[in-house]
Amino acid sequence: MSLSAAKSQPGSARMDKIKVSARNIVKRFGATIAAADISLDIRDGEFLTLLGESGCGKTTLMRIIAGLEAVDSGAILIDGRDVTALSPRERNLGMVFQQYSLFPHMSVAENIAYGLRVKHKGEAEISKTVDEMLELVRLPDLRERRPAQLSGGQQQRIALARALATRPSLLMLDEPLGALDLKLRRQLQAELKRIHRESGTTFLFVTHDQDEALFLSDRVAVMRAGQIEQLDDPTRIYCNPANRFVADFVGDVTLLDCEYDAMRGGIALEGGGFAPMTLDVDRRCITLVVRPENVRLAPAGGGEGLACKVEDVAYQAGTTLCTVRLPSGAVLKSRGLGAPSPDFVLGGEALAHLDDCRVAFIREGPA
Amino acid sequence: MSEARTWNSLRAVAAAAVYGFLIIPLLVVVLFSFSDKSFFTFPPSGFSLKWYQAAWASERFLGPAVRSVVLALLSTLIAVIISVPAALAMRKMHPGRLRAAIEFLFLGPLIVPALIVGIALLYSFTKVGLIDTFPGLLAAHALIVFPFVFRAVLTSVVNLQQHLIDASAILGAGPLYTFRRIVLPALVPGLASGAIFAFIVSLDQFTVSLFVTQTEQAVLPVAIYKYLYDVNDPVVAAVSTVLVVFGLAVAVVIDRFGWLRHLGGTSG
Amino acid sequence: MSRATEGKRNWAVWALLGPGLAFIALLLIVPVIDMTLISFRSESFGQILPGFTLANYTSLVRDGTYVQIFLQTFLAAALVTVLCILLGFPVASLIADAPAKWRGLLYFLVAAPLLVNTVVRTYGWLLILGRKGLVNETLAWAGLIEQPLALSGNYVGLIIGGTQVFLPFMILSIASSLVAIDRRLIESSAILGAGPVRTFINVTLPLAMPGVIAGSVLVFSLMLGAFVTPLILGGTAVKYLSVAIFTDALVLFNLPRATALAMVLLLVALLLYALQKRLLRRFEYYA
Repeated sequence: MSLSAAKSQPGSARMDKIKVSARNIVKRFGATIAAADISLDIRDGEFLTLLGESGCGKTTLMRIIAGLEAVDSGAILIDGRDVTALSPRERNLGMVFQQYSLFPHMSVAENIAYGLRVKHKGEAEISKTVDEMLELVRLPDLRERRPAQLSGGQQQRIALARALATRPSLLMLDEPLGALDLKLRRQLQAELKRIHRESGTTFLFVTHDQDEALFLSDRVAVMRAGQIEQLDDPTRIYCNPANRFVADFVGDVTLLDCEYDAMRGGIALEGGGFAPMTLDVDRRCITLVVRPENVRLAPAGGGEGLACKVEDVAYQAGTTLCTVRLPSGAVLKSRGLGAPSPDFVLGGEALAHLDDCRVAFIREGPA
Repeated sequence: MSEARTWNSLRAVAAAAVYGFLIIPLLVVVLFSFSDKSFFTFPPSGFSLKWYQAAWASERFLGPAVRSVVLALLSTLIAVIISVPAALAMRKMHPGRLRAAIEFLFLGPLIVPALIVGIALLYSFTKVGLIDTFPGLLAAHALIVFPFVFRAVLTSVVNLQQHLIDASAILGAGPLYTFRRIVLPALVPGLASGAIFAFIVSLDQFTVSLFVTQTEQAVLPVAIYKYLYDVNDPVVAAVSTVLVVFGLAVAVVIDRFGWLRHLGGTSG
Repeated sequence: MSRATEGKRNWAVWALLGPGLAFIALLLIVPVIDMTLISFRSESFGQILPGFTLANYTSLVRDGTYVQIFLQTFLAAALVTVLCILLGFPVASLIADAPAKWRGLLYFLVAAPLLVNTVVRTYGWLLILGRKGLVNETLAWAGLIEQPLALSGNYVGLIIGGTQVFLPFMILSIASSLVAIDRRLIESSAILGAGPVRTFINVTLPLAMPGVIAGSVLVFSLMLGAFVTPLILGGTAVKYLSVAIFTDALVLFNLPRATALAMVLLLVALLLYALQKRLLRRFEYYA
């Protein structure tokens, strides 16, 4: 594999090709529905993440694509070929588990070579590929070590190398960073992004960590109860959530029930207060999606804005997160750059301005 | 996937055959005990309870059976009394050669084959006049079952959390109170499983019993063997059936506690 | 900790150990030392004579009968061990892969026979393998044999009975290793393209080795020292170490020779114990 040749860029010609296609996948475990008619196309070379809470069916969908789990109905296509009836070994895939799952009785080199040996590659080619893979994951000196002698981060890189060595059509990663501490996780996220780029392999990633999903992915599929709620690129998932669930699940958010008054050009909050804004909705009763960066606080007594009470001020390395409560009881969070302002003290009054809120959902009620 | 399925079916068939192999001697004994003939026939014919009556009437089993049960109870008790302080002492010792050596000594009766224990005790007991006496038999059985109790209690002791003991002391409890309210309750599961295994091992113990007794102090397995040697009729099957039922009943009980699969280290 | 409390602690430790150490010393160490000493004495008509001799040991090597006994005993133990591995693996593997609700029952059926008296289990085999036992009667009834097959009172009966008596230990030991294998390792192997046979040889088997070794050493030592099964199923036709020791001690009253034989068994048992610890250390992948 030439590591630099197969770079993938969003929107490139390669990405128009469909690598893996899941069609109308249905899977039940007793009474629980793990996949309720899921269809999903994974584009060639992209980094696609299945994001959702545990039990939403994301891991099951991945295991179905891998062939580790049989479908009740539906089909899996890899490179346009129907592989639904094939066993995992016949699908040419790669998989990395959260628990690394390196063979403990084999050295690092033997682990990486395993899939190549199975495919009866020549020793010279195996040795060359092992070196390439170790180079790719930047651990060239660990060839003869046993997995037990490696740190968690190192083990996970070797697991990546082992999975990529066979040049799989698709690399699946099941919460691969879940067992690592925060700092190491951040470091490996960047590594993953680089390895994805350099190897040119299509990645299917499963996680419950939304930050990780948004940071890593070309596209994210937000899942709930065996269904995909939204499949989009990270910016659109965050800025244009398709429904309340996605809006609530991704990022820090307040869902504000209010009435939109197109005549006055703003929203009227339950329990009093008016905030001017222009929204593209045709109903009165709406739920507004408010992110911390949409809320700007001003000192009390400075004219208009939503009167509120400061409940918490927290400095978070570079930004300050203020939590305020509206008279209606609704809680808003406001993120501002820099250290906390002396204007806002616990229990004190403030005025909240809602800037640039663009997303609102229609809710039940009079039109 | 079909390759894996063939593989799995083959395995299931093989496993079923092995299960049959494990169970069949027990089944045959039970079937034979209800036979109306004194020799084995195939296909089986007739049904009778006369061998059970004969076993009950015979002088050769009841005494040894009672002796076996009393022996098992008392030897287990002795093993428990010696094991608890010994296991607690192991906890206080620093890990090292001395600790390992003492642990090896305490597990000795399990490591040394029962036959060796039997022949060694045969000579020693003859010297001090303990051969064919109940105290001698009891000492031998206590020795054999001791490692089973010790090992089980040691596991509990090792798992005992030091911070619980510290917490008890900080709350003002004296060592004895801590022992009674914290240490002892923590040892109960290990003690109970160890004691049950010890009881079973004592009941099962044939070899050592044979070496340290003659005619006066026969235990049940030895009585069965001698009857088999002398007479060999289905009376043995009737007595054996009682032991099969007893064994399975104990198995059901300890399975409830989840201890059955830890049987891996029992002697044969 | 101050020296005084350290000293007090030591004192307490030895006080707690005291009863146990005295118990083991009196009933195991001293008798085994006595036994060792007797193996260097000679005897005449059941009387142990004073003096020191190596004759009991040299005769073990010179006397063809004893060499034969050792060989047969070791061979039987090895054969039973191999049979236990072969028969035990499918069962252990079935248990390890079984869903939780079945696993309990499968374990139960393996372990329950262990709680039935060994004499009784061996007697069951006598009923099956005897001249007029289940197998011979069935075969005769089916018209397959004229004369009963010799299945007990010989090597065949000994091997079959020994295998059944010790098989549960092997199954439990292998199963505990197999249960501990992370399923994802098997799945990884499949995804990397390996078939079930290759996965078994390259992944499952190496990872099951600690269980196989522990089980093998246990079964081998148990069979080597087994007494009930050879006595009842082997009969007098089979030369077995334990039966020979028993005969020498309690039938011929030649205690020096019996103890010399016993010393061989003891040394082998201790050797196996040491060997097991060393072997298992080689397979500690997760250390």
